[in-house]
Amino acid sequence: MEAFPERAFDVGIAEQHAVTLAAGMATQGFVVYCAIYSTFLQRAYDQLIHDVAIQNLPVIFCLDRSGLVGEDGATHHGVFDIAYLRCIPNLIIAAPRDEVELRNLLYTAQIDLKNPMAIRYPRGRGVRLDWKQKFKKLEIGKGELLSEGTDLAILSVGSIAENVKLAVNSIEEKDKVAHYDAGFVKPLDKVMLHEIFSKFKQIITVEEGVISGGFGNAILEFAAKHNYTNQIKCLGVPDQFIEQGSMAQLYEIVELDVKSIAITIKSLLHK
Amino acid sequence: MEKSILNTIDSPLDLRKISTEELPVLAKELRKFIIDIVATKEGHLGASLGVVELTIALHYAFNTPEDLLVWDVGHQAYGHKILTGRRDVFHTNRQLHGLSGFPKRSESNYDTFGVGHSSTAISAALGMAIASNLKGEFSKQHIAVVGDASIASGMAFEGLNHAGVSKANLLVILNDNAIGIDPSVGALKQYLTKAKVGHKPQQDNIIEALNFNYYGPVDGHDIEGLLAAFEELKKIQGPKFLHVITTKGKGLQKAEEDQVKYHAPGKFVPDTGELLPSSSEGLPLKYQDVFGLTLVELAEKNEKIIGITPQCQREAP
Repeated sequence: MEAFPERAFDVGIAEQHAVTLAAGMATQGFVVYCAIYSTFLQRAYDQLIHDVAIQNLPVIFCLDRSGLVGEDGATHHGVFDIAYLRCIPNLIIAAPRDEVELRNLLYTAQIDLKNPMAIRYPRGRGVRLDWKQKFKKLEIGKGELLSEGTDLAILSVGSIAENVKLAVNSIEEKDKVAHYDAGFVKPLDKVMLHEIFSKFKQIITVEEGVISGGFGNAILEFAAKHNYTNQIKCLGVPDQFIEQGSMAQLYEIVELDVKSIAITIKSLLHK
Repeated sequence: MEKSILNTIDSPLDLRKISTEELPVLAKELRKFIIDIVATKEGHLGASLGVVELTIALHYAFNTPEDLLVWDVGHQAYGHKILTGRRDVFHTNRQLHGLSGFPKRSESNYDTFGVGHSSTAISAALGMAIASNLKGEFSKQHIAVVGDASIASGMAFEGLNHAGVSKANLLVILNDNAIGIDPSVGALKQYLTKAKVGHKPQQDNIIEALNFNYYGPVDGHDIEGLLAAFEELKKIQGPKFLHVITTKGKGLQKAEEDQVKYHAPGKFVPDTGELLPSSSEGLPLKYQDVFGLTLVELAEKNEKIIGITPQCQREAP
């Protein structure tokens, strides 16, 4: 805010206004980053659809505090955004797995973006000390294979990738488990998905957001559309409001902690 | 145990038994109680310290929970929780299976409406007030306590606009401390800034223009003054508005001086307010900081870049 006072706007507690203001600026050729907590973007849903997405204005929504937020509890968890954004046409939804990816998304977004885009990232600390890397342009809708495996594929989206990585590394049969980072909830990396569905009988999707309507559901839809019959298990926040607690406690409750993810992997491998 | 008034108050019924002279002593105790617990358990501090007197006066003057009190956002409701039967469990605030950091209907009859996001209190209290009229409960009071940052949002205006043409027995209390989580912004804030205790700016008053009886500004730390204002307001039917001026973080010098940091300061020394060092050395940055730093880096090269935020991300550098 201090660095560029003329190009930074604090509009007060006014999410609807913030979103439509961003849309107005975008019509005039500006590259607008609209930073809103995931839980608060809920308050500007019509503005998002009516003022931004229908007109396909390339506003960049930066959704901080996506996922569970800990002690602030049910009113503040940012767990619905994937589900409520995924159904909106034109919108790109990205979820970086770490700080370097976040930076590259922010960089990529200002180069000739054709659509509105949401970038969701969590509350709290990242995972890398070497976050300040040279910028790299990302391909929109491209996922990435993080580690190879033979039997089972885990497809995660967003920073929960870290827990998945630790879970895979914690089990003896880690060579059997491949880990893919979807990078984007929308558009999906169809080439990568076809590869995953042809190669692995079992697939686990992992996201820090509600299962209903979430990223895992997008994968189920993809499978149904293409007549894949692979076994798919979706991990995420169940269909209930999650109350307050420490992040460690809440991860355990929704079974997204390292140990729970490892248990899920093992139970599928031994089926 | 030290003799304390606070320890005798298990509900507002107990509160109403004590004399008005004792209320400032209670305020002192309540403030200390909040400070001592938030110092070790963490949570939101400044907002609740700012409304200690207002909280006591409200529960003293009004017949809660029959009269319905709605706190906007709810950061400021710690004192309310402590006075309404939750003193002994307040140390579980914001913890798993403990008290919620916000008012919550399932937690207490005194929490009339669940909050967390801002600017909902006027609509909720108006809904209750109109419902009371439909039920023939015309003497029931409905009170929305709204901060100056929250009242500048669209939804608050929508509620005021509706209330102004209703016969609803609604009291909107503006808790004006000139700050939300960050300093308040906008034209309404500029208007409010001109208001001082006992001095209502001459400029056209938009609240009055919306058919509200406008009272104040009054000093939100003067319990006696607040009680007198409430007694006046109780006599008036229909929508009314009380402008209360408070200091966020009141009673803890450091919290008064740095209101942004002491909104939710983390652990601190209760007597002095000195923040306890939390070592972040060797830890990765927060995502929000990576976002902020990166956006500045990009904006240096691309002059088309604009940043917009609705208050929540100013802390990002």
